[in-house]
Amino acid sequence: MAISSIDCAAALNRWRGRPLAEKTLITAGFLILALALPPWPGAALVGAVMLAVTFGGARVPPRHWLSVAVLPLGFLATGALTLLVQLGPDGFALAPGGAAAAAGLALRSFAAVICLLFLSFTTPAADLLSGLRRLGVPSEIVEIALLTYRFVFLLGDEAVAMTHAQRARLGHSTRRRWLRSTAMVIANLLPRAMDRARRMETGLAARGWQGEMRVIDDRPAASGAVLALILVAQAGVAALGVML
Amino acid sequence: MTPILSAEDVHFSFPGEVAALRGLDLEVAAGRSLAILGPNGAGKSTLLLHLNGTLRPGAGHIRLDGETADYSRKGLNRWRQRVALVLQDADDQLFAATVFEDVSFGPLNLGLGEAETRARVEEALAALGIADLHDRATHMLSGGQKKRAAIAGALAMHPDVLLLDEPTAGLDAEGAAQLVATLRGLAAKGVTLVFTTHDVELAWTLADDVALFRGGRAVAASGAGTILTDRALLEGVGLRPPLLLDLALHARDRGLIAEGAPLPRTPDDLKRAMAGWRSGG
Repeated sequence: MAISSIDCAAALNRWRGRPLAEKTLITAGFLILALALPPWPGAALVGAVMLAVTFGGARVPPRHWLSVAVLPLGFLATGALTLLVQLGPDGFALAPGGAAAAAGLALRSFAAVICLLFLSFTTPAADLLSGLRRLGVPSEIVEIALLTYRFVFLLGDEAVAMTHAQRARLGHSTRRRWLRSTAMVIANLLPRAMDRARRMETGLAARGWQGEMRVIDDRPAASGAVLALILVAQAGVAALGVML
Repeated sequence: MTPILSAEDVHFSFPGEVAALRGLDLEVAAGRSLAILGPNGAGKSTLLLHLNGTLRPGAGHIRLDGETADYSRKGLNRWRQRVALVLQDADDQLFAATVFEDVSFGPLNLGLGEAETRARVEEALAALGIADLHDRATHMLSGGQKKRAAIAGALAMHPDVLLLDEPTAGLDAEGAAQLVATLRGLAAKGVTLVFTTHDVELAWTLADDVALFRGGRAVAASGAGTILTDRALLEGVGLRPPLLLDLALHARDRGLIAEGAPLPRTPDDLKRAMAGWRSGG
């Protein structure tokens, strides 16, 4: 669910066609700022800017974003809450300065997660992989990653279909049956994956495959002006975060 | 004329299974559209895999332009450049991230340069009517779109022969109708089509010739009009004449369609013919 919702957003957001370099520079630059600047107002500023970029710029659907973000943000929030209390000689007590520490940690980690989610929600996985290829990662590794990614969806669909078929025949009506049925789905996926891989090899061979998966990479190159603009914006946020 | 592809007494068994092909003889005439028609398990898909060299006959020969097929690496490359294959499940064929990338795979394997490859991809996407899917992720396409993308991937190699395994399987009525119209367009441009099907209606709409399959052999092969009107022959392999053809023959018996006039191949053909009946009284 989460993967397909990220995947949909990445394929359909307004910035899907923007060069990978721009999106990674935005993510990496602001991530560093979120970690390096003082949490207040620095990390808060970074978080606000990245939310604006995610929803205002790339137009990621907020509901999709929220459904994925709730898990890491919830985890971080409960983690920060523990800073509020300390275990002293008299048992649990409010920690001195705990509120400030918890708020600082929460702000910093939220801002960092928001940065990473921006990249996930705006960049199709294939773009990330082709970026790796351009960075000099061996093409064999990139191809395996790409095929794995493709098979995740194919096998995911098959697993869902098999599960539905089992439910329709009451295969999930008790915990015991659920366990048995799920084990059968898992056991069935391997031979199916092998069959599919074999058929895919036939299809590739029919198109003249000789061991190398060459395709034309039709992605635009980044423009220096846009990259410079991003750096200027990041310098601005850094200055504001230090001075305020 | 020498057939572009032919099978001579081909036998083949998958390991540990009963024979899939048993003494198959078949000829594919250049520039025509051939339906491999038969029930499930008749060996239709196995034959297609022989016609592009994926499988090698246990006995017998496959000939390309009258010459015995060359199964060396170089020979297979030349063969697959001329004879393209589209698998039944498009998901088995689409591997790249976007439609454009996937279609570019074949032409690049032919050793074409980037400019030529780009031109071929655009041309193939336009021919299939999916130019708007250019940058779409392959796993986010509908079934019909995937099928078209897979066919574009084969077509971009400019094959002489296009082999299609159950081309309309899994498509809804509209998707199937669009695909059939596209394939008729390709056939009109001179691409030789060989497709497997158990759908007699599809065979009648799309095929010039029909080879009737049963038990790993072609039990009859001739013009579509000859095979598909032979009720006894079709019922022998568990099939029936196409409804459209049945109606057309009935109309001809009643004198509504002139003897010797072309019989309607699509529902629209029949409707046009019927428009004339009313005015004729």
